[in-house]
Parts: sequence; C-alpha cells; structure tokens
Amino acid sequence: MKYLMTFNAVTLLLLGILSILTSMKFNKNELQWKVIAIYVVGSFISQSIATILWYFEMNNLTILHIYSLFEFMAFSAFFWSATESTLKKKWILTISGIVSCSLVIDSIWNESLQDFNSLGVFISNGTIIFYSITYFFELLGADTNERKYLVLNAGILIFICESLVIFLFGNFLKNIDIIEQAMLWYTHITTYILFLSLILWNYVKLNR
Amino acid sequence: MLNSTDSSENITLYIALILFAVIALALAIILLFFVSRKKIVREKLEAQALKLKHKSDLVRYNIETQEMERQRIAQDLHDDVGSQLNLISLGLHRLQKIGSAIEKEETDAILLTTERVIDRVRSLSHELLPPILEKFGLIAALQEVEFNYNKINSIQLDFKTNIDDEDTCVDLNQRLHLYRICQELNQNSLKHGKAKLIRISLLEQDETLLLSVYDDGVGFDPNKLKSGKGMGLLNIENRVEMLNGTLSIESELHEGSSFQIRLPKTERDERKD
Repeated sequence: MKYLMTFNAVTLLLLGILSILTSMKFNKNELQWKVIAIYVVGSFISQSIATILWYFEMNNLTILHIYSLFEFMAFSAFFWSATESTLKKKWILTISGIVSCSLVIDSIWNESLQDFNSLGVFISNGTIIFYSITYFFELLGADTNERKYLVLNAGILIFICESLVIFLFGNFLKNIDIIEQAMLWYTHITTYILFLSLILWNYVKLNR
Repeated sequence: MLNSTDSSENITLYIALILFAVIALALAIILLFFVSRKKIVREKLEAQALKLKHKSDLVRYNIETQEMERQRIAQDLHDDVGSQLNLISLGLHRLQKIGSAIEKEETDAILLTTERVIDRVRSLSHELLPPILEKFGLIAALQEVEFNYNKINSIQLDFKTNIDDEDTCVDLNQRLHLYRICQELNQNSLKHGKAKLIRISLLEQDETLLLSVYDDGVGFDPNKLKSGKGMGLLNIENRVEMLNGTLSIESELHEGSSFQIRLPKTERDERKD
C-alpha cells in the first residue's frame, strides 16, 4: 500500500505540474490545450479528493461517477476541437451529447454510487477510443504541422483502453485478493503516469 | 469445485490477460498508424516527384518544340521566301532594263518595296535563328547584339566575358538557351524597364559559368513576382531549369534590375563530354 501511495503521489505531482504549465499560458494557448488544461486541473482536484477519501478509508467511488462524465466531456471537447472536418465535429457533438445523457441516467438510476459504474465507463471509454482511432485516420494524410497532437492522441488511446478494462471489471476487483488487486492498480497508475508524461512531452515540445 | 483463492486467482489472471491484450491492441493500432503513414508519405512523395518530372518534361518539350519551329520558320523564310523574293527582284531588274520609261518608273517602285521585303525577311530569319550563333558561337552572337544595340544612340549595351574558348565550357544547346535568355531580358529592359544602359557579362568562375544581365531601368518589386510572373520570365525560369542552373533576381523600384544565371560545375563537366 505504501508503494501505491507513492505512485499516487507521482500522478498528483505530474497533474500539479501540468495544471500550472497549461494554465500559465491559458489565454494564449490553442483551444485544444485549453481543454487539456481544464482536464488536468479537474483531474488534479478529483484525484486529490479521491486520495484523501481513500486515505481515511472512505468510499471514493462517487467521485468516479462524476469524474467519468467529466473525463468523457473533456476528451470529447478535445477531439471536437482537434478535428478539421466539420462533419466529424457535428457527429462528435451528437454522439457526445447522447453518451453524456446516458452516463447521467446510468449513474442516477442504474448504478449504485458506491460501486464502479462499469456500464457507464464502458460506453464513455469506448466512445473515446472510437474518437481516438478516427483521429488517427484523420492524421494519416496530414502534414507535420497538423500532427501536433499525435503523441497526446497515442497517450489517450493507451490510457483509455487500459482504463476501460480496469473499470469495467472494477466491481470484480473488489472481491479478489488485496495483493492481486494492488498489482492491477499498479498497472493502472503506471499507464496513467505514462499518459500524463506524454501530455507533458507534447506540451513542452510544442511550446519550446 | 474451486475454492475462493483459486477463483480470485482466476479472475485476476483473466483481467490481467484482457488488460494486456487491450493495451497490446492499442499499441498495435499506433504501430499500424506509423507504418501506414510512412507508406502514405512515401506514395505522396513519389506522386509529387512524378508530377514535377511531368511538368519539367512538358516545359522541356514546349521549349524544344518552340526552338524547332523557330528554326523551321527561319529556314523557310531564308531558303524559300527569301530566294523567291530574290528571283522577283532579278526579274524586276531585267524588266527595268527592257521596259519603257513609264514601266521603268513603276518597276523602280516595286523593286524598292521588294528589296525592303527581302531585308525584312532576312532580318526576321536572323532574329529567329541568328546564323552567327551557329557559325561563331554565343560570344560572337552577344558581341553582335552589343554592336546592333549600340547603333541605337539612346541605348548603351556593354558585353564582357573572360572566356577564351567557349567550346570548352558551353555546348550548342546551352548557347542557344543562354542567347534566348539574353534576348528576353534585353527586350524586358527596353520594353518595361525603359533602360538606357544594359550590361551583360558571361564569366567563367572557378567551376561555374555565370551569366549576368543588369539594366538601369525603372526596376520592379521582386515580391510582386510571387503573385504572378509574365510569360517571358517563366520562359527564362524554364530554360534555366532545363540547364540545371539557378536564377537569382535582384531589383528595387527606380534602382534597375539584375539577373544572374549560374550553371553548376557538374553540368559543365557533362557539356565537355
């Protein structure tokens, strides 16, 4: 558990650095980075609250319900702003609207706020994976300056794919051995650290 | 029956397997993207190179056709039209001797017009393909241009060169193109630049050949060339491209203009062959 706490502290540190970096030039940044700035600041706050609740051995899964919706909306906004195609913007807006409503309905009526929202995570993360793959397709024939968010997109794809599995089976994880559970959470946090590092790398590379 | 520890281990194993499979899939998608992108970029570059080659071939073909046509017209004018006009002139001379006084007067007028036409045809034929260029080379042709321009009092044209034997550094094809470039630039200097002085130099520098044409005319804004070039300048650019050379243009409003065409060493070596 001590190691898990250290890993968690690393993610908080990275989120803190990213929050400061992306917020510093908030007005000067492109819309895509403004969205990422909101995402990292939001993640930093929710992660901090979740860590405090976890530290005091309180159930922090209600945060996950809100965070899932927030993360989905942030990534949808990112792909909406990153895409060049007007048609794609329209269907991102439509799909995201439907999925967001479904997430709210699922969390309030279908799932317990004290458990993992497996169905909601599956739908929202599945949609983000779909956005990410279509964005890769869009970048295939793009020029170098249009591929500014390639690293970020790769990070999103890896992290969301991994999150999809972890949170989809989240309720099963609660019933398994604590050491085995920790192993899977280590994998999750490692992927999250990788994802945050890729955001940092992409940001520094573009703002050098 | 599995006990709870076995069941827990199995769940962990399955989740771990699914987790790694999904991450591997994500990585495979990213890898596929890079492989496909590399292929697309390569295909794009190949298509671009092909397009450029096609354009270059088209330009080369156009210029070559233009030169062949000029040569044919020049020869037709000289050999066919010119010789027939000479026959008419001879006939008129004969008529002049045997005709009456009134007929002689009429013949005189026709003869005068015929001789003017003969002169004009000869000059047109020479303009299209200067015989001096073929017989004595580029330097002699440019010296002739200098002589002809300086006959017009208001314009001074200076030509200088440091080449002793042009056969060692400029081949026949290059001579014709360089001559045409000079012709075009001189016309531009007079027509658009309203120049009073034109300086042409053909210099051998280390391993390169440099043709410079300067005029003291009204000049132009080189930035405006980016938005649109005239046919003359495009023609010059295409000829320079055909010679695998480089063209640099310097000009300022009311400060004259300067054109420099540089041919690389390798081309010169090929020419020698």
